[in-house]
Amino acid sequence: MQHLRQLSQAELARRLARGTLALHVGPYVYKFRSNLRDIVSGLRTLYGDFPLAGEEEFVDFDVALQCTGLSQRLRGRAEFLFDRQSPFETIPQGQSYAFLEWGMNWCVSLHANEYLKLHAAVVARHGRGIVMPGIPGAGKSTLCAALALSGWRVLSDEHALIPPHSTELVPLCRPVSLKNESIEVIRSFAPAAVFGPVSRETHKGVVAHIKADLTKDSHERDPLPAAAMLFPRYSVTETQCLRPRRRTESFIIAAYHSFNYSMMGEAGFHAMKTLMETVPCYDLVYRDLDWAVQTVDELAAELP
Amino acid sequence: MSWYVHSTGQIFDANEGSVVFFHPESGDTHLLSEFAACILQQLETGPMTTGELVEHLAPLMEADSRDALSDSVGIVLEELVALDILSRE
Repeated sequence: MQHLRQLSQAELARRLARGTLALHVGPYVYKFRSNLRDIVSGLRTLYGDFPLAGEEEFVDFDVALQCTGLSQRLRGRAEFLFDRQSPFETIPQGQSYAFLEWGMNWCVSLHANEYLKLHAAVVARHGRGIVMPGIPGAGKSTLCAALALSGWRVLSDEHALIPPHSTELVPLCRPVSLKNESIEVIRSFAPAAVFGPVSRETHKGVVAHIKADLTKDSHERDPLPAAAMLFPRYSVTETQCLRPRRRTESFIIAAYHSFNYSMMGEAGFHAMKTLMETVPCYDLVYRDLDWAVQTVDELAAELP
Repeated sequence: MSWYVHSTGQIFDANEGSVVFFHPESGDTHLLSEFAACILQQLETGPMTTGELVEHLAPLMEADSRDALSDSVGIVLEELVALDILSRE
C-alpha cells in the first residue's frame, strides 16, 4: 500500500489542486482538495504515513480548503467545503490548517452515526484502550499528546467510536490538536515532536497539531477493547492524584459530552450501559506531565 | 391520589448509591438516587398512593419511622413529577 510520503511535493500539490488526493483515516476515506501552501505542507508533515486510497475506493468525506475567486484572494480568505458545499463562513488563510482539521472532525461528528461517538481522546497500550473524555480545556489533548510521545498508540484525539452492543474502540488516528500554552508544554516535553502549521488568532487562540501516528500499528483498523475510562483534569492548585470515580456519574458526563448519545435514543443508552458495565472509571488530576504519563502507564499495567 | 409511571424506564445500576435512568418517552437520561429508583420500580407494578408506596417500601428500607419515610417519599415523588417521569391521577 502506498503512503502519502511517497508522493513528491509536486505530485502532492498537483493531486490536492485537482482534488484527487484520498487517504485512509481509520475506517473512513477522506478526499482532499486545496490550493493553499499550509495545507500542502501540513498534510505532508502530519499525514505522511497515512495510506493512500485508490481512485476506485468509496470516499466517505470529500473536503476542501480553498481560496477561490478574486474577492477571497484579495482579502486573504479561504473556505472549507464539504461535498463542494460551504457550511461555514470564510476564514483567514493563516488559519487554514487548523480549520481543515476542525472540518475533518466536523465530518465525523455530524455523520458516522453507526457508532456511539463520545467526545474523548482514546489511547492504547498492550492492545487495550483508555477513553479520556474531557470538557474543553481540561487537558485531555495535552495528556494525549504526551502519551503519544511516550510510546502510547493514539486511537483518536477527538472521537471515541464505539460500535453499539460492544466495548470496542474503533481507531481513528489523526494528528493531536494543541492550543495556546499546551503547544510550548509539549515542545518542552518532547523537543522531537513533529508539529504542523501554526494557526494564530483562531476562535480558540493559537492552534497547532502534532503528528500522532507514531506506533507501527497506528493505522491498523481492527477495533481494540476498552479497558478504562479516565477523566483527566489539569490543575495547578489541586494535589495530583488518580482516584476511582463512580460509573453512574461518569456515564452521565460521558453521555453529555457525546456527539450522538441523545440522537441514538434508547440504543445510545444501551451502548453506554454496555461500555460502563465493563470499564472502571478514574479521575486523573495532574499538573506535571511526566507524573501523569507515569501514572497512566502504571494504571495500564494494573488493569485486568 | 395515586402516582403512576408513564412508561417503563431503563436503568444502569452499578451499586454505587445512584442509578442512571433512561426515560424512553422523553429520551432524557437522569442520575437518580437508589431510593428514587426503588420508588419507580414499585410504581412500575401499577399506580399507588403515597401510603401504599410507604407500606411497600418500609420493609425494603428497614425504616423505623413511617412518618419520616412518608416525608422522604413525598419529596422524591414531587421531584420525579418535575422530571416528567411520574404523574398523579
